[in-house]
Amino acid sequence: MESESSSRSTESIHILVIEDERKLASAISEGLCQGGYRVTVAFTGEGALKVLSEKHVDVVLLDVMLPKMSGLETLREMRKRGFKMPVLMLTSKGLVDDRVRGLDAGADDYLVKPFAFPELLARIRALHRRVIPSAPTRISLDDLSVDLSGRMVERGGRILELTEREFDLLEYLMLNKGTVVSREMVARDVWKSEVRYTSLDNVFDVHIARIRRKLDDSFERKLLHTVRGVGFVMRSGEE
Amino acid sequence: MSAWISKIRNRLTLWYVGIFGLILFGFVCVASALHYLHLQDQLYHAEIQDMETVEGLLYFEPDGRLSLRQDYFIREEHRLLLDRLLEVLSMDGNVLFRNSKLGNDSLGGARTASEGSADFFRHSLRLASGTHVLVLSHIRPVEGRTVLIRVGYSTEPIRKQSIQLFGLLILVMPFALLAAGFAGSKVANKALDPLSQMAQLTQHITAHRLNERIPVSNADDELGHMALVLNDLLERLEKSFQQLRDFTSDVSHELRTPLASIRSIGEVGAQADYEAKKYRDIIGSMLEEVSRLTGMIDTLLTIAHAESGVLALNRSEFSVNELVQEAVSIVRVLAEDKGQAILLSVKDEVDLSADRPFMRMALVNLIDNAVKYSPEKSEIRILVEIVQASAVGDSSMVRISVADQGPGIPEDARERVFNRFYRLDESRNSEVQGVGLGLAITNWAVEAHGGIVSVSSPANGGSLFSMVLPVTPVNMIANT
Repeated sequence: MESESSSRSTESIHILVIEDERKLASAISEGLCQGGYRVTVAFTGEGALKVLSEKHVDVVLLDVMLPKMSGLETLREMRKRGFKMPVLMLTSKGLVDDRVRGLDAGADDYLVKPFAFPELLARIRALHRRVIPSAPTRISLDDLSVDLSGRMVERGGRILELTEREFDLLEYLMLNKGTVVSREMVARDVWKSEVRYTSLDNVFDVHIARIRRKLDDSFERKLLHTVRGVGFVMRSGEE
Repeated sequence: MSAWISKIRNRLTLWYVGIFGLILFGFVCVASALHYLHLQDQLYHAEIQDMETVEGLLYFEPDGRLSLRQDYFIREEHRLLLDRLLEVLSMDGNVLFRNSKLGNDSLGGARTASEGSADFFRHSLRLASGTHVLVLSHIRPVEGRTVLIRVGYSTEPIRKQSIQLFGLLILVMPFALLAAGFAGSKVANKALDPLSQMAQLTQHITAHRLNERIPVSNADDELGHMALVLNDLLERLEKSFQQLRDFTSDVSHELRTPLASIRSIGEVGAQADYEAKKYRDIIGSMLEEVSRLTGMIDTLLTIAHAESGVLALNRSEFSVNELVQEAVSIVRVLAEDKGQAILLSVKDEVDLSADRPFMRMALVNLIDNAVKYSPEKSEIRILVEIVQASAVGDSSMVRISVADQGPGIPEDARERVFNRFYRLDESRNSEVQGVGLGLAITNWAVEAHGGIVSVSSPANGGSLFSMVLPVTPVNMIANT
């Protein structure tokens, strides 16, 4: 009932994915492996508890809807047995009730299905980090440098003029540089909107287009990339 | 039995009979007791007369014995006096006389302190033989010597008579109760029959026949009121069933479009060998459609939750002016892209108590709508002002209106613009993104706050959307 996927480094973070939907489980497992995590998949709560008793697990990804032993029951049992690692719940219902019950049962965070993969990665990073490192004042990528306290953007020695909103968006992308940021994350973290809606989507596109014009148009190497259907990412490589 | 008792009409009858029986029993007891007391009273008066007669008949014989004149009893009616119990005591307690009826029994033994001192002294006692007697004592002089005369009557006959009466009344009770039960069940049936009729009718009304109604015979009585309430419930049920049906058909229709795209793109992609970049493009394109689907489902769920009342408004107090400016700042980039100008004029500064994120979404949708359907280089005017509304209490209302220079909305479509998935011109829509949920969300958000969204077409062209909101929350039931 379980399978372990190998990873790039043995010291990497070990994630236990408890999900009975096999297609989703294998997709998550694959995606996490690509992200450099070590992954074990359990399809039932009972199987998960067995894995936990045998191996060291850093983060648990738990589906609420499981056959036989439900996700909440599994979570309670885990906590009862003294497993204290962070747990990220996957719920398919967007009802507040469900979230509250999950958090009450000892979950550290929750994510509503269908979720965007970059969002899942971001949540796992946040959970594992636990202690938030002190915010940097300057982030650089290639020849781009963003001064967060002075709100200044410089590339190749030239200062770029950005509007306030453009800067907010760029700052967010830079804080997550190297990883893809989904539209949901942008809506929530930059536009402070709990729901993502079409009007906002159009607004993002315009802002992204403007930032790209100022940031990348006159340079050979492009830094702001759109991963079609997934989101946006700041990186200096190809693609 | 338990099934029988579980029916209201039977319980009612049972209660009725029970209470009636209790009252009747009490009444019988009181009547018997009163009857007994009345007879005892009569006995007492008879004893007084007897006492007076006896006093006249007592005499001392030469040897000092006390006797009763016997010649008196020659007359038949006076023989009755022989039925009494008679005892005469001297003041020092010696028995001077006892009649034959009394024999060796004593009518109360030695004299008690108060006995006979004042007029006639009445008391009840029980003889050694077990008979209950009512005794009358009187002190009076007989031929110069003071004696205590006691006259007693057995109360046995009147006791018997009373018990007989009691028994007779009790015997009649079952018949009375039977009659009461019969009458009670008739009354209960009469009262409850319309109810079971109503239940029968209601039973026939299923999800597919929600248009049927219960006939109301008299709207003023309780049952008529009940029927009205049920009818009202049916009406709301029918409405929500209809909404659900519309919703389901809308959704299945709307979900088909992105699903069809995903399927076609995937199928085409799977059939030929492409280079990696092309595949990434195909997957991206599919993901875009998935994202559209997800967004649609999220929005629909929000509306569904809102309509079923699950979603609670999280009210806070904020400045309308700031909210409008924020919404404009979000959408402004879209307008700039089309060379449009958004002109905001705030006539009145107002603080509003509402759910800010929802109101922001409503406003953004409204302004975005104006941007979307207006030609390039046109103007969008937003006006914030206070209006006095007499319709909703006397609290003042704030109106936020968005006027564009677009094609306007034909009069027959103005109502439906706010419906889910309603889009005006299907042909033009392909180039304008959106799924026709924006205005539905706006409509819901405003209505949830007790406000109204409306659209009109001013004489100088374009369309004018305006939302009117109560400044302070009004208690109202959403979706009426």
